[in-house]
Amino acid sequence: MDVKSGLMYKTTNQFFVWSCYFLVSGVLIVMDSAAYAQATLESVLARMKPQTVIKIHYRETRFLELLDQPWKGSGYFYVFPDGMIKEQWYPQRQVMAVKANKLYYFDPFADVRYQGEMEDASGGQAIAFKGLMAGDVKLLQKYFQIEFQNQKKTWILTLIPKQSELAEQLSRIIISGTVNQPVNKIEVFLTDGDQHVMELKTEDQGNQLNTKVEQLLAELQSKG
Amino acid sequence: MEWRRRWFYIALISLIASIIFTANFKTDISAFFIAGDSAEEILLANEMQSGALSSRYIISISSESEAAVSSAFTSLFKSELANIEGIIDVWIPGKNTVPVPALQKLYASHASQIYSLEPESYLNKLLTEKGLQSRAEMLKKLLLSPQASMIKKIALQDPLLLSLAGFESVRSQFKDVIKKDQRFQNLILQTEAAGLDIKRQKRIQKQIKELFSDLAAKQGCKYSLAMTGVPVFAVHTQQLMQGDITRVSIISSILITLLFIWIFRSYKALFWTALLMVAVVCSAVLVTQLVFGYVHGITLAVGSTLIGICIDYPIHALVHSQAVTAERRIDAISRIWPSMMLGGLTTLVGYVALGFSGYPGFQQIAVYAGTGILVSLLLTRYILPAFLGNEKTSRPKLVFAERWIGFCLRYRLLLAIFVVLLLGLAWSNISKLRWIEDMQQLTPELDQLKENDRMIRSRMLSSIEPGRFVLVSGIDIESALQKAERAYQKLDALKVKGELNEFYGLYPWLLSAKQQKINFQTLQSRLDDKIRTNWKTALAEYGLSVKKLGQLDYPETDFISLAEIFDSPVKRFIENQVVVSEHRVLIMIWLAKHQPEALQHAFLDMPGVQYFSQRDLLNRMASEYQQRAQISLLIGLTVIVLLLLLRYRNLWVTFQALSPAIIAAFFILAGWSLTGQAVSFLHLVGFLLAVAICVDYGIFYRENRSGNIVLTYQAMAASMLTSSVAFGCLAIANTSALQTLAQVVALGVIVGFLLCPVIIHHTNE
Repeated sequence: MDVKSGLMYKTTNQFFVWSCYFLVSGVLIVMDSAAYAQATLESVLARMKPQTVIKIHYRETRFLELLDQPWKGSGYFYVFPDGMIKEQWYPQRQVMAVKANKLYYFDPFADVRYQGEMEDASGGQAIAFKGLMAGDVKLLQKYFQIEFQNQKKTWILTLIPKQSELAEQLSRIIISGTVNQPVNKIEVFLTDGDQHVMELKTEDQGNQLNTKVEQLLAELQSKG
Repeated sequence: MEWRRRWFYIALISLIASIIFTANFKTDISAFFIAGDSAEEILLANEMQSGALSSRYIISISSESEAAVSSAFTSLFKSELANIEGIIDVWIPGKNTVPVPALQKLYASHASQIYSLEPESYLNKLLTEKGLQSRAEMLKKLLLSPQASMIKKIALQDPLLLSLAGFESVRSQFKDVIKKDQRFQNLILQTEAAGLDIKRQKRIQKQIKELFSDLAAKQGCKYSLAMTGVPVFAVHTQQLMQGDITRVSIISSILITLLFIWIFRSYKALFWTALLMVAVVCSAVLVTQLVFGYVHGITLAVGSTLIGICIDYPIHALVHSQAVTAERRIDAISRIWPSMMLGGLTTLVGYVALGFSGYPGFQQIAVYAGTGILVSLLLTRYILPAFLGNEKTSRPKLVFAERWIGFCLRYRLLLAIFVVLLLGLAWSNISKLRWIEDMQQLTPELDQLKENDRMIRSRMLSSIEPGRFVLVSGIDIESALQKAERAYQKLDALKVKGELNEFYGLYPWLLSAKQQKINFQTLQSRLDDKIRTNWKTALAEYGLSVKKLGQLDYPETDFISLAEIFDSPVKRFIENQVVVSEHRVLIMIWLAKHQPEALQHAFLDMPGVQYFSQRDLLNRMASEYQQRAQISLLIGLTVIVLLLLLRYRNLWVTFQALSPAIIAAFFILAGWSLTGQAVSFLHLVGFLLAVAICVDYGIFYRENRSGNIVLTYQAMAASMLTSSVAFGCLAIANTSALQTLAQVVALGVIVGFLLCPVIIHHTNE
């Protein structure tokens, strides 16, 4: 029996939690941090939705209890009005996307792919992320406790899950940046002690990236 | 006579009161459901009626255009469906909705017991140096995958990930769904109530339809909804039956009343007879209630024809009594009583034989009708005379009967020759009689639902073939699981030969305790120091924590049991494959495309394991019912002949009394041969009833106790009209079983009546 393929069958929930901080990260990456200095959280969230495709380089470090050394990866985020794609290039290529209500995952190296509904795994939790995408503070507040700290040169936004299923695995997400600069760091703390840190830098934006996004989505949606 | 009348009124009121307070009327189809002969078939039939499968719907949303069904709409519909009272679960078929925490909690600690059905060969591959390295590589990959959090929890208990080894077959179902047609979306819905709980299922179906219409209107979606499943068939059948009962009862009551008034032109006679019939029906309901604990709707529908038969006795009594003066009326009734008694007994024989025909619901009809006939006979003899007043003497004006008997008496020889010629023709055609072999043909009224069911299931794109499976039977779950595990080996061999594409048993969800023990012992015996060292080396090579993952501790735990699984959310995945009763456990192994002969042959040497086809079962039952109906017919006829012989003690007279009925029935058989109409056991049942009723005419005509053959034939004509109207009314039912009875019996009694003066030579003529 092939353990890998067997595992693929029962991963949606994990996939969802993973996609949650992926999605949160993506949404917050494009936030204009300058807005935090003057505006309320509501007005900032209302401006979250990107108007065009944004390409962001990321470097990720995972501190995992079961690995002797921290794991490092890097690649690009493509954030666009109704979703985002994460294309990991190092150490191996992997593509993952959230578009509208659907999740996609493709590991070309292992030839494992998945697509499914956000609701399949998460029920009401996915609504919270839809709320983030749409800047719906009420929905967001229903599922997360939101803490916003505005310091002299930096700001920190902390999301703590309220909903039990999400809270079982995700402890908190901390997004930070400097004033007048986009988000430059996201830290994800899992309840089992593992930690993911992502450093971000915007590389490009505009409609010229549409073709790339379409190519990646086509690759994810192909039947393999 | 006055006291009889008083007692009758008191008894009638008591009967009505008893029925109001005790009768339990049912309209669900369970009582008429097809039951099997073997313990396995009975258990399966019960499961089909009240098991998990019976309370499950498949709901299909289809787009009215080429556009895909919106996933947002499906999600919203799905979550709203779950709010309907009585719906306990809704899911998208084939989706990987396995509740992961439950899986992890259930299986990770049992890893050493459930990892394979062939532990030796599995461990031979895994526990090599290369195998362990590849497992460490996979573990690392999974710890960096989206499933990391779950894998971490599993790996801490089961570093070799043995608990995940068996899910390949489940994944192939998942693959099917990805390739589905996007214009359709199916949902599975589980209700708390049994599928045959019509009241609750009807409400649920109504709410589902309303919810769908509301959502589609609000979302502006042009979608349509279709449903299938046992509850859908049950509600439809019940509605069909309810409609039939109401329609048949009302129309046949009105027609018989009008006919009665037309024949006797006396409202008083109508009133007395109606009172007697109320008493007959009430007694029949009460006795049926006492014997079975309930009275079924179909019994009442078929039983409504009983009025048409039971009214025959008062009709005979009235015709003969009103033809004489008031003071001679009681004598007139006493004189014809022996004929009535014999005629009643022969009809009773027909209904009793019906009870043995094998169709479960007919037993109740037999008790109901049997009681009705006996009560009607007794009331006619002992109560009706108490009602007969001093009305003027009259005779029914059934001109057609007078003319027909006159015509027959004049041209009897010619007519007899014509009947003989017809008999010859009928005999030459009888061999062409065709039997229904497919039981599905017995319920053409459900064709649309069956087509709907086929269409919805075809959208599932599941590779599982519906209605065919390997049935494993054991005295308990352990023995059934052990047999199933031996069956898996045979099925694997068939897969290798290309005679089976895939099968879906209880593995990896559940293994027998025996196999779990073997797995555990095999693993423990193989985990030596060398393998432990190799594992640590492999972990280190891939940067995995030797400290956390290096100890291959697989402690012995309790075996995972069916009860444990049924107590978890995993239950949904196997509950439709296991049927547990007090003395027997059945396991169903679903099959993908396969060669039926190969599977039938494969399990011949395995007691308790058999290839099972629901369609074959139904057809076998049809064949068995047909044989039983033939036997019932023979026994019924024999008993009728014996009764007549006992009475007449003369073979020729017996033959004369019996022949109109037999010849009428024979003509009907020949008619079916000529028209090519396929015949089922239901036709035979009708055939038996027709004979049982027609014999009465032969008896009355032969005995002619009034001494006036025209008067006797008038009385017979009146009773023939009521019987044929009562049975003829069944033709307006939508249930084809009732239509068949209508066709056979109504036609049979008319032909039998017409044949009496042709066949029976009367000395008084």
